[in-house]
Amino acid sequence: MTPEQRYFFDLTGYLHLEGVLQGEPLRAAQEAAQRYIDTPPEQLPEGFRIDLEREHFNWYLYAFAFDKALERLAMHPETWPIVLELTGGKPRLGGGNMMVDTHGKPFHPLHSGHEITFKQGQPGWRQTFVKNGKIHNNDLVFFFYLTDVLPGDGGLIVVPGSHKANFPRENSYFYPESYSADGGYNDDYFSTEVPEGVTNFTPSAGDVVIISEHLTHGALSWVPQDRDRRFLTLRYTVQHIGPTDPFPDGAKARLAPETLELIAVRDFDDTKEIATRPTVTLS
Amino acid sequence: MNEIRGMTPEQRYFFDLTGYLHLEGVLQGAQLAAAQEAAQRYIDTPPEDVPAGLEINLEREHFNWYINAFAFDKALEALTLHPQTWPIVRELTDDRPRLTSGNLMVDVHGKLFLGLHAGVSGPPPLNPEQGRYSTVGGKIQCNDLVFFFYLTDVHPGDGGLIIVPGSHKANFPREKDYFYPESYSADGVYNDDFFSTEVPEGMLNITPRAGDVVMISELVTHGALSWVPRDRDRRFLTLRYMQQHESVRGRGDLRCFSAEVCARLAPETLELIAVRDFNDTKEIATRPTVTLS
Repeated sequence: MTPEQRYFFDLTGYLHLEGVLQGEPLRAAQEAAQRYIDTPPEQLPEGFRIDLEREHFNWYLYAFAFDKALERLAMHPETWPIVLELTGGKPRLGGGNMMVDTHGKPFHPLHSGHEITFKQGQPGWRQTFVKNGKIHNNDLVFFFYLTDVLPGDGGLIVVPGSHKANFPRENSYFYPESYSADGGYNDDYFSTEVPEGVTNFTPSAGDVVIISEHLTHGALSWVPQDRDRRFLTLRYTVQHIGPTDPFPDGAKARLAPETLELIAVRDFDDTKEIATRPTVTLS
Repeated sequence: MNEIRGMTPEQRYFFDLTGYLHLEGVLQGAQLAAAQEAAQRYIDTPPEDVPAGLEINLEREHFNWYINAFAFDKALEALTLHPQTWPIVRELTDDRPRLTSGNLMVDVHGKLFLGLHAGVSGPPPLNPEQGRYSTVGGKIQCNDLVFFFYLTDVHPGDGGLIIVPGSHKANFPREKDYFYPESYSADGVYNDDFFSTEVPEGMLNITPRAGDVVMISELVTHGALSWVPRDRDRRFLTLRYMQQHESVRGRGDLRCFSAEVCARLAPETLELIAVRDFNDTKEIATRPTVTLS
């Protein structure tokens, strides 16, 4: 990471990288995503699945394995150094689904992995700390945007700095009506408001937004009726938290050796060969 | 009226994340009008007629400075112990409050962009003696606080106060080429020719109304955009608090005010500015609200 990225991520819990995908790589990723979306469920390759019933977005599972144009993003030259640094050189890809947010899907209320620790009263498995001048974080989400988000559209919201919160966030803060009386999500809630303390991202197609899962985040209601919000969500953790990778055999059968190494669970003291490389090309 | 006890959980959560609070409508009606009138009277006072211990400095590069304005009039002095800010002062200083300054600042068109800076150089966690911040015991303690009592409106696009939310807990240094690289000259000092009203990602420009209070930890990186309006100024009383037993801002003597200034103050304010041992408890710090006698 650059010193500026390190400074910014430490403060906010996110990075917004502009123009990571451009030209042919962007077009190829967009085309592959469209092809997955257009595939009838019964014609999907073995192991793949489309879930149109999920409340906050349509879900295209294991999309990173659907096409090499998407698989390559798991070790993109601009994001790979960040993955390596934040995982302390022990990367593991733990998820690679595509999400498509459309008009009519419910507001996605604020939530985070860090907040679970407050609710459970124990530290859990998530960790973030600074050691030897580097940030370590074992639960990361990289959103590769394939469509544009314009101001006023809605979409991803975060509470900058909440990854280091020392106090619990009550449901009554920011969007109190987005929760029901019993603390669950209120699926009838609609909002495009951005209250003080909240940031709404408006990435362009080809941008990448990185957040720590420690960061409180959610999604505003999606306003446009003629456009969707479409992004590949790559989740990384550290190699020694398992117990096994979550991917079906059908998806794994399509992956390059480098990606198979990336998804593998390994001991803390092991060093993955790909983690020794500044850039990785799929063979 | 219900007694206000400490910060609310929401204030505590927000301040912990960001390093600031924006309290809306703290001053209203006659109280706001009295503070505005007193500020205007100080501004209109010819420098040679200013009371002893007070001083007008129109040469300061980033704003006009009306020193010890809190002691100019009781309407301003009362703000040092305002019922809405007092519980916050008490909690953040762990009931060891000390007022260390209270100047009026007036930012006008033509004054310089105030480059980003903070109370400690480098990441606060690496300078814990000066930049103390803790959340032990379910409460925040922070030893260097600034409360800006706004007496005029700031609208979006006007310019004014900027901060980097979360920077009070930064673990890495901010280099001068982040955010506003041209606001510094090659030798690292402020570039007096720089003008900007831009608000880059990661930065927040606060636009308070007259009567609002913005409070920041001096640990949070802050500055001020160039002031755009030519027909309005940005006018605010700046009250600084530390803990009663220490000085971490390079002032030498812990006593901050002259005998002439002290002679104008109420007993409660004199207690507020007093330096005391860590283990002492000021009488005013036991009171949920304090009224000047």
